[in-house]
Amino acid sequence: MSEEKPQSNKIYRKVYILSDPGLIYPFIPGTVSSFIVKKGDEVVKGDQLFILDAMKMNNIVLAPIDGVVKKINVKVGEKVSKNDVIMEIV
Amino acid sequence: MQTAMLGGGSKAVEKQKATGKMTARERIVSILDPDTFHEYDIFVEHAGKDFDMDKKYLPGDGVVTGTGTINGYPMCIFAQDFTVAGGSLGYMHAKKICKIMDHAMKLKVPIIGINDSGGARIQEGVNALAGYGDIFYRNTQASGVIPQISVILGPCAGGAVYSPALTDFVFVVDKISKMFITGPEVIKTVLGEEISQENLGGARVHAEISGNAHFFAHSEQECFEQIKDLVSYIPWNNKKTAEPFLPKAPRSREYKISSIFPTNPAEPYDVRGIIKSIVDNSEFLEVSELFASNIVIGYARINGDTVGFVANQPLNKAGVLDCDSSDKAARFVRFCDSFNIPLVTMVDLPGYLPGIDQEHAGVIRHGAKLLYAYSEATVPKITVILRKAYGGGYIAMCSHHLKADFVFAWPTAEIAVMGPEGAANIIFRSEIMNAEDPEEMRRIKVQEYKEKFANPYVAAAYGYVDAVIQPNETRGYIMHALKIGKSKEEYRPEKKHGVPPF
Repeated sequence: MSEEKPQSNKIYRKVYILSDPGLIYPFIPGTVSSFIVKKGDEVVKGDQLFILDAMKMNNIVLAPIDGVVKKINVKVGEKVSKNDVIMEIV
Repeated sequence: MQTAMLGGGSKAVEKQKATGKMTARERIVSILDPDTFHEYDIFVEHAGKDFDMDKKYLPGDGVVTGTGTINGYPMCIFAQDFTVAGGSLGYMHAKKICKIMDHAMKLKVPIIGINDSGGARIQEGVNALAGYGDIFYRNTQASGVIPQISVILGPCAGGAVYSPALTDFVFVVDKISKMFITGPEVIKTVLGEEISQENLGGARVHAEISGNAHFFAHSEQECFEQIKDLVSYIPWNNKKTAEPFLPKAPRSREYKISSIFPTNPAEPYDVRGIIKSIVDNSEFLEVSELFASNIVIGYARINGDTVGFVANQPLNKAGVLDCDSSDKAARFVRFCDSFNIPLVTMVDLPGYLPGIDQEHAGVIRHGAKLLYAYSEATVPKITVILRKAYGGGYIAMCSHHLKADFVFAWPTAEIAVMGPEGAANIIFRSEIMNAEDPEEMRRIKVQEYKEKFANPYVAAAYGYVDAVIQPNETRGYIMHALKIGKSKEEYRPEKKHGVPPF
């Protein structure tokens, strides 16, 4: 029995959507080793947000925009992958 | 003569000013030294015959061309005049640009082009296209012979953007510059995607995302200052070296390696601080600052002479090499090599960035550009390994194997085939798996590997590192290497040209 799927004629086109700059994704999978800000903190562009251990380095992640930390989705020590939103700034 | 000097007339000039833009002549005068601008071809008239164009008078055919000096350095310059028929490019307009470009090539002086144009003059049909083609051809011929600088001070759309893309440096100004191949209108009609001009091809987009622009400014005046700064670092042509300045010591009170460089090897730092602590007067002109900032490129002087710096930036993405950073650095290396600017490479990177995105985006091909550029370069090449130099990243960052002339390493350098964790996992796989406590065994083996290989002495034992130096000796060693390397001669096998992994 073959599990061949019928070939689709549909043409997939990548739609370019400007991503929300307030959603903080890791640039590479790693471990969040500590948070410098907490929920509700006001941040200015360039402020240090948290430390992401990845690529043999304790990377300091900076705020891309001015705003307030609305949500933190991970805990300290948690592994994060590329599509995880670590923090939301509005 | 006076009507021609007014450009598109007072009404059009007012409109231009209302958008925060200067006129073409004001721009040229602001860039050049006072009273040095000499304009040519002001009486040129356009060649349009159809659509009643022959009845129209377009002063200078919408472009101002001439010569002048910046800090006393000779320059050829042209500026498109948006007040004349929207700066549109017709046959004679293009001819004027080509003429001044030919002039620059003959005189062997840099050319600056100020772009502010609505695009091709549709009424002139295929002659407008011919004009673009003639300019692209000249851009390519001049590449690597004279420095070419493009300044985008207005729209630059369609075919017109390829001329700046072929030049060496592109300057943009926030909210004024707009570059794209197809504008928002076309994108909407063809693809149904909606986007504003600013989000599609504004200054920020090109300085941060696409990397098409190398210098970003908030105002035209700031942009002109950046241009003046840049030309002080580069030579007039490929037969000369950059004009030397008076040697100055670094401002060691503000920039001190010992206070910038962390003792913990996993802690990031700003590598620009390290560069500033070893260069004259701690002045460093960074190129493409906002794009792929995991690598830093730019110019500084050591003992009065211009040096091109390439450095991994641990502050950003741990300083990894990826598609964009390889591309950015490779282009810079090639510019420096073309124009006799010695290269200093500062190495601290964990390697190439792993990931599906990167592999599919062609990190092999882009990464190879850097290898190609360094291997091909015959200017003096000096490499300083500060900390991590692992795997392919170690080779790519101007290692001894790519014929660096001098490789220095700080005692903190870790030169190895891969990071201690990964290496220990592979080499001691069976020991770790068969141990009673695999985790403990892994820890011991990682430590063992670290002590044995994560240092500069293994590489130095093979002669891949010329000297292990203290951080505070770096300036002295580089200064000496540049002095010794001044008369360097190295030849490549005879060929028409190579085939770089574009």
